[in-house]
Amino acid sequence: MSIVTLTANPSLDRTVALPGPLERGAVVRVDAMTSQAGGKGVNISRAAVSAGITTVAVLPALPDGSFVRELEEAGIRCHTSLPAGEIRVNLTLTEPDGTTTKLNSPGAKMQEQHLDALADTLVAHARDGAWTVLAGSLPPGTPASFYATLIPRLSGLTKVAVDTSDAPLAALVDALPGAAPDVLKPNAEELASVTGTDEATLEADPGAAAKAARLLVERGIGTVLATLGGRGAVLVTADGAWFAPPPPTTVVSTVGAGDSTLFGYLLAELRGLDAPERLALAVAYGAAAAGLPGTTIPRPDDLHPERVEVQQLDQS
Amino acid sequence: MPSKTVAVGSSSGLHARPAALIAEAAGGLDSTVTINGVDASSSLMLMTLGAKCGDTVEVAGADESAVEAIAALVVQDLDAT
Repeated sequence: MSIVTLTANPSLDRTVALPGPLERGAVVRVDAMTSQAGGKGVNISRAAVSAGITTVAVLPALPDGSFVRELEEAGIRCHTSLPAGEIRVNLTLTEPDGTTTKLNSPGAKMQEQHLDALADTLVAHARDGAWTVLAGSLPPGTPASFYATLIPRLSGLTKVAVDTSDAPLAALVDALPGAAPDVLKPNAEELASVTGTDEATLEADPGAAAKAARLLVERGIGTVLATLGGRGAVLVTADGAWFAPPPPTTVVSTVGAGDSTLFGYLLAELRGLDAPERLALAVAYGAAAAGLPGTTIPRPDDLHPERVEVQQLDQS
Repeated sequence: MPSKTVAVGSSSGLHARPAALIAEAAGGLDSTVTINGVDASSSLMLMTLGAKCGDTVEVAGADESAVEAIAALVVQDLDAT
């Protein structure tokens, strides 16, 4: 039982912990700067290693480069395809009150040969995974339909979870029911963008979020796990809808919280837990990640799913 | 810290009923006990370990008698009780 992750647009994640509120135009002496191999797929693979689940990362990178070496040393097996250029750098600024500012660079432009090689590498290794996770943005030069065209090729080999935004998400929803993933993990903004609803309403009202998620389930997506920031998450399947607020958490960094939430869900699914338990573990993972600095992945002893109260939502 | 490595005795592994019984017992103890690093008082976390019958797990905690009590439950076939 393992989890295969695709990181089409890997990044070197640099996190700067500011000593106070960010001051524009000022010179700031920072307390600490960290740098680590990242990308949403990579984050999920790291969480898998931490939970004792074997994992494979598929990414465009040099097989003998420092990025891949860092991942292999962390226990993540890598299958690489020809990269289009240098790995991009993403800069995150964190303030003591938990405010996070991200400056994400686009990455090198992919040509058709790079995209074909990446897709073929993933399809060749997807059957190793009970789950394959397609997560994150697409590099420049990639058609927005990349995920939507990849999902049918993975069908029958593995279950598929998707966490993406903007045009790749819109293209996937447009292709329904043809390119339906088993799990989709939107946040409130992403769910609003593909269901024609209002982000603020979805974030404030779990019932409205569940109703919007239901529209996607009716169009063929197996499960929608919608994260509502500090309000928790909503889970909608063909069988029901559930909402869970997070346990009281002192937010340190929300970077990677969504990735941890999705991993918590997949871990619970791998272990055969039922829907409310899957949601409880997802929310426990997300809350634990938000309470840790940078993209730090929660360890099992950081997790308290028993403090998460899952409520069934009436959707009649 | 006292710890003990034991084999899971329940035929279904550390799953639904065995996990619930162990978590209930661990929750009633005065000190925290972990199984493979997760809080033994959380049945959900115990189930995430995916430990099957015969798999060895490490029971650990600050208090030796608490570790012994939980280890004794882990080795039992709790599906048969």
